[in-house]
Parts: sequence; structure tokens; C-alpha cells
Amino acid sequence: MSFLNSKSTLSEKAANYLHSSHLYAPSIHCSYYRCYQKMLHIAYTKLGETENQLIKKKNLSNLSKKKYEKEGSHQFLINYFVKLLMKIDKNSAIKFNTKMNELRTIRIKADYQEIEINESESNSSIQRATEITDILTTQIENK
Amino acid sequence: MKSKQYIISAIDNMSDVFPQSTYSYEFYSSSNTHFIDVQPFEFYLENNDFQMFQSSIILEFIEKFPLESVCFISDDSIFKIKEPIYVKKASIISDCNLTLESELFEIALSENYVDLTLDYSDIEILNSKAVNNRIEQITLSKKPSSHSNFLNLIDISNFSVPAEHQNVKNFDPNDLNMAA
Repeated sequence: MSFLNSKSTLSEKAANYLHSSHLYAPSIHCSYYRCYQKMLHIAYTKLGETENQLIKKKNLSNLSKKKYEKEGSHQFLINYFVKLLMKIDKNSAIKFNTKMNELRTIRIKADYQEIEINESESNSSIQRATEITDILTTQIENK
Repeated sequence: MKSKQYIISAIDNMSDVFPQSTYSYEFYSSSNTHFIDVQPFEFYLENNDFQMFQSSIILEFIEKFPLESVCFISDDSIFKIKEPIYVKKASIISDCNLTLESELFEIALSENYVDLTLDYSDIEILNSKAVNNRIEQITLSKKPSSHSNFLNLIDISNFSVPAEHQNVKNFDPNDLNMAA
């Protein structure tokens, strides 16, 4: 098992542990990184990509690399998988796009914004992370 | 074209193709995500043509704006649209899933419907009540020669019927039978 895949599994366990300990905001953080680490694992091991190759594939003609590194590396990777899934199964791609972007947005709220995170949001994030990793596993990793 | 303008244009196109739905758009700058809420939920979940349309918008959008995202949501989302920057309301009633057995009925339109368009040849509008240019109440009738079922013509599943109208003669919610 790759280190990133192991980290994804650890993030899942951490999310569940933090949720059961009523630490909802950090639980959402771990749910999100469970998915992000899974995407990186699949990109590097299953698809044979490297970080530099992923950056090169993106059209950076009108976007500086600095802006990419600051704002968009996560979004770019998500969109990379949306495009890949669209070629495999459109319904899965739509579901992945919705749930991953919801999770990414609530993770930003949980980590950086002056708002309270409740149990329901933490629980929904765990569920979404499971659905997202299931799509990645069944549609790409295990094929 | 800027991303917000692109989204608004896409919503207008969607509304032209699927006028039975209401679209509410809010942009989350913190995550560069454009959320579009689609109602009713059943349409969002089950309409295959809409799913295909949605996928083409997502693909085109992320090609044009690779560091942003567009996300279609509905009742099952973590997010609720609180401060929409653009709303396109449903303009016709369709997608029937109810039957109406009486020949005459009166309905109160929900907030979702600002414009009622009826161009069906076998239904006529007997009268209507409008408040602030929005039809709030309307009485419809099947023409005597019509054999068609309202099932195929009107979706009243989203209508709210105020209590004072629920006893109007010839309108009885019990007349409505859920289609299989």
C-alpha cells in the first residue's frame, strides 16, 4: 500500500475519532484530506502522474504558477478527476463533482472561518467522504 | 467571459431547456465555487436529460475556468442558498405526477411559480387572481370535449393550498391521486 493511501485511511479513522469526540471542525478537515490523499494516491500510482506532469497538463497560459500554487492546486486536481470520470461514467462524475466541492467548501469554512461547525455538518462530511472515495475506488482504482 | 457571467448565461440556457425548474445561484468566494440550487428536488435527482445537460456545463466550465468549480445542489445538500446573486424561477408547470378527477379545480400557486403558462388546448382558465403581477390563485377547467387526464398536463405537486381555499367547491385534495 502506498504511503498516501495509508494516510487516506488514517485520515478516515481520525475523522471518525474526532467526530465521536465532538471535535467537529477538525473532523471535517480530516474527511476532506481523506479524499484529497486518495486522489493523489490514484493519480500517482494508478494513473502514473507526477506532480510536475499534473501542473504541465493544466493550461497555465493565462494563470501564473504562483496563483496556481496559492489557490488552485486542490481545485485543479478535483477538476482533473471530474474530467476523467466524465469519460467513464457521467453520473458518477456529477456526483463526485457535487460532493467533493461541497466538502472542499465546508472544509474551508471549518478551518478558516469565524463560524460554528455542528455535529450534522461533521457527520455529513464523513458520509460524503465515504461516497467520494467509493466512486474513486470503484470507477478508477479497481478498474 | 468572466465566470459569474458564464454561470448566469448557463442558467438562462438551462431555464430555456428546462423551464419547469427554479435555479438559484450563489458564489462562495472562499472556495471559488459557484453553487446552483435546482428545484424541485425530484427533477434534480431523476431527470436524465438534465443530468446530461449538467455534465456538459460542468465540463465546459472547468475547461474555461480550471481553478474554479460549478456545483449543482438541491435539497440533499449541506448548503442552502442564502444570498443568491441570480434566480431564475420556473415559468411553466409540467412533469405531472398527479391525477385530478374533478372537472374543475382551484389552486394557489407556490412561491416558485411567478409566471403560469398554459397553452394546452384542452384546458381553459376560468379566472385568476393576481397580486403584485404574480398569479396567486387560478381556476382551471377541462373543456367538455376533452378526454385527457390532468396527469399529463399539470404538476400541482408543488402547490401550496392555503387553508381558506381548501374547502372551495370542486377543489378537494382528496380528488388528487398519486400516480403509480
